[in-house]
Amino acid sequence: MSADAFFRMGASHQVCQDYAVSGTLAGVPYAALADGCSSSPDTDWGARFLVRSAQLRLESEGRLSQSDGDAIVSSALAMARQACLPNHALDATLLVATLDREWARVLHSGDGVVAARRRDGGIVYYETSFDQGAPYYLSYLAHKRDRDLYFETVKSMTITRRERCADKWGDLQPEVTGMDEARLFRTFYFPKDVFDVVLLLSDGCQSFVRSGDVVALEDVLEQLLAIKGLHGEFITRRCNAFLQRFCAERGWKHEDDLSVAGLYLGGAQ
Amino acid sequence: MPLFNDDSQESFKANGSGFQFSGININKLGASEYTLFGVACDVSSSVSPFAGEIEGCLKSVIESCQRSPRVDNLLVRAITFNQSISELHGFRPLADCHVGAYNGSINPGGTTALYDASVSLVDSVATYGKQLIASDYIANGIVVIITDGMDIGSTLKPKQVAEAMARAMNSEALESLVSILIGVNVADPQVSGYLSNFKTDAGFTQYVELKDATPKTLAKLAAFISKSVSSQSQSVGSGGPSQAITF
Repeated sequence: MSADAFFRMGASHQVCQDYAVSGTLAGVPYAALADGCSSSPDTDWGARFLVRSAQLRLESEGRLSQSDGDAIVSSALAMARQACLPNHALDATLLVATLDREWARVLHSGDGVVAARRRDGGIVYYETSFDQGAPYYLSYLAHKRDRDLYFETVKSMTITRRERCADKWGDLQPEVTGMDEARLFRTFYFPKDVFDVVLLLSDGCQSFVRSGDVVALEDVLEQLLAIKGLHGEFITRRCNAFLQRFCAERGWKHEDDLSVAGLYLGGAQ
Repeated sequence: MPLFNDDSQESFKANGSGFQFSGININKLGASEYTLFGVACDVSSSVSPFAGEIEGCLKSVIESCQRSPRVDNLLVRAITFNQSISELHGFRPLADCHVGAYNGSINPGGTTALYDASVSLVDSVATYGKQLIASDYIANGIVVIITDGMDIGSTLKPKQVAEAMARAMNSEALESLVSILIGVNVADPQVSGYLSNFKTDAGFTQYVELKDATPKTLAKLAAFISKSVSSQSQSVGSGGPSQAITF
């Protein structure tokens, strides 16, 4: 079992607002990332505070679940106040993966992608997007006024699932839901007997362009999941090779910050 | 006789020349980038008067590189050569190279297969580097050849050393390669001219000439080699070689 994380600033950014870490806390392998909103102030700090807060919560509780959202945000807000930063510094997505005995559990708030590789080589991904391109941030839990205003404006969330079997991608399967608060910090499960790698990705993975044309998410995921050795810094190696060789040869650039974090779930049971 | 006895080493055959070498199983390498440091020490009869200093220099280089903040990204292979090549150890993490194991590693006797040793070292760095790159690692290399004189007894020629350098610089092998030829105790102008020409003919990045082999000179050499390794290690991932360090 391994955990690794990688992040890099996008071509159009001056500060990297993505942050990703991985490791083991309280005996639990984990990977986490946060992607700060580029139109809110100081979200490079906020992304780190949210991830740090999730780490501390995992360390104290030994596990993370949807019900930890409030605690994570409260702790992150305290950090932001200590640093004299505005509440909106915490306008960031948060994705956390932890490894249990039977599965990898992913908690996801905001937009971004969760992808997993099957042991038979297939791929499945879940891409979350929001009405008007406005992701729900955990920071809204802390401010009723912001939350109310958000729900007045944003009416739906879409989770799009797509699967590749035997080198062929199936149809897109979008699921559009209303803004049910219970699903805004939602959980995905990936059984260890089916999957060997789970990746968390910020929406920077959807910002690759080539000569102005958008590169398909599926093409990016196929490359990022073509991991050659599942030990140590396995995601860093794959991302470096992908960006510095594959993308450089093809003229692909990611405009937005890119972060990738993930877990190797171990050999087949 | 290898200096270290462990199960993590595998055998490889160098591309091009076919020399055998060993290196740690790549699946045991946890980092994302590595600098491959190859060092070859002349152990022909003529180095007998300063064999202890050469051994001290080698140990000092290892020790110094172990203090580098980049120690976890350095792999080192050490060979000695007279009329034949002996591998002290294959590519292994620098942190695993216990300095005491190098005691008695420099045992002079015989002639000087300088060209063969150069090709063996360069080809091993390139071949292992290619394996790393094929497994998504980023890798660059630095080779250091320490000799006190002219080649006697190699099966290969300087032209083949140049070909090995070119193979190493192929884009699928290493991000960059720094190659340093060091002439130790070079008092004879003929030897000086020979080694300068060899540097040019073989395509070494740098030639450093030491007029003597005193402890002070070889201590300075150790510091120079360590800095060169450190500099090349810091440039891995940049796409190009490090700046040459002045002796």
